[in-house]
Amino acid sequence: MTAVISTDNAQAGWLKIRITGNTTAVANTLGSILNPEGVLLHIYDAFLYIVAQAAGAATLDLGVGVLGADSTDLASAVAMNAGLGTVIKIVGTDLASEGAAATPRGLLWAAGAYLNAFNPAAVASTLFVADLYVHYIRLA
Amino acid sequence: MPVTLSTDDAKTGWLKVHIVGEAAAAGLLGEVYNPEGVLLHINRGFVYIATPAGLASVLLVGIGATGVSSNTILATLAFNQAAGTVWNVVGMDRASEAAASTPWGVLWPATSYLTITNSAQVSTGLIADLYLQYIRLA
Repeated sequence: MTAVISTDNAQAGWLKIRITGNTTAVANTLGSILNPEGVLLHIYDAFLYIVAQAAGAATLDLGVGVLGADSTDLASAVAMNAGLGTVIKIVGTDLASEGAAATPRGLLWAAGAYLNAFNPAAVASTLFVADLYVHYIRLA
Repeated sequence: MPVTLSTDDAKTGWLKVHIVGEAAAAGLLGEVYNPEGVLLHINRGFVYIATPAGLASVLLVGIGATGVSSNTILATLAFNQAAGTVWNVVGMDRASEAAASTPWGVLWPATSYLTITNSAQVSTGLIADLYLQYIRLA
């Protein structure tokens, strides 16, 4: 499993998910996180911190779906071999009052659904390490 | 009472206000008194429409005196949107150093109310939850 919920120091309400690359050189899942609350959630903010770059031109898709799926409703084809030490905004907050808080500016996370990390490229993601920080509201 | 403060599971800092539509074509749906008793600044908000109103009912939501219609938070959103959708309440499209006032933030004085008013159309069938995040300014 290369995507896991972090249990390190308190994140002040942020769900922290560590994503690690692998040596698989075909499109493959990097891990899935089951809805941690067991109720409908709304993701309203998220950031991705690139801790270490991949050696090759693998890419990262993020989203919510069934276990192991290539979900792209949070992020699509983020370069995994760039951005060392930088933070990427994952949920757009460029949203006016009374606008729809839907992809890419918010996302529902159903009770039995997974947050998926997926490398859709036929390139290994070796050495990649990133932390995804997610803010959500419980809608139940 | 069609507007109530939720006391269900922990909302990690969000105030949750449950809204149920009614058959009256206009008038106050309900109100919530400042829950902290000090000046607040509402800095973020969403509304989740679990079940839409049958008609294009526009609910006015804002801060004011008891029973008084206010639209400083929501003014034009029709509540007959698709079921299971989430709508932004406090505008986030604001640059650094700009004023965080309506529609990008709202002050909630210590003795004021969050009022929810049905502007002109029956809201029958509506079930929604308003989530607000605020800072205590005192």
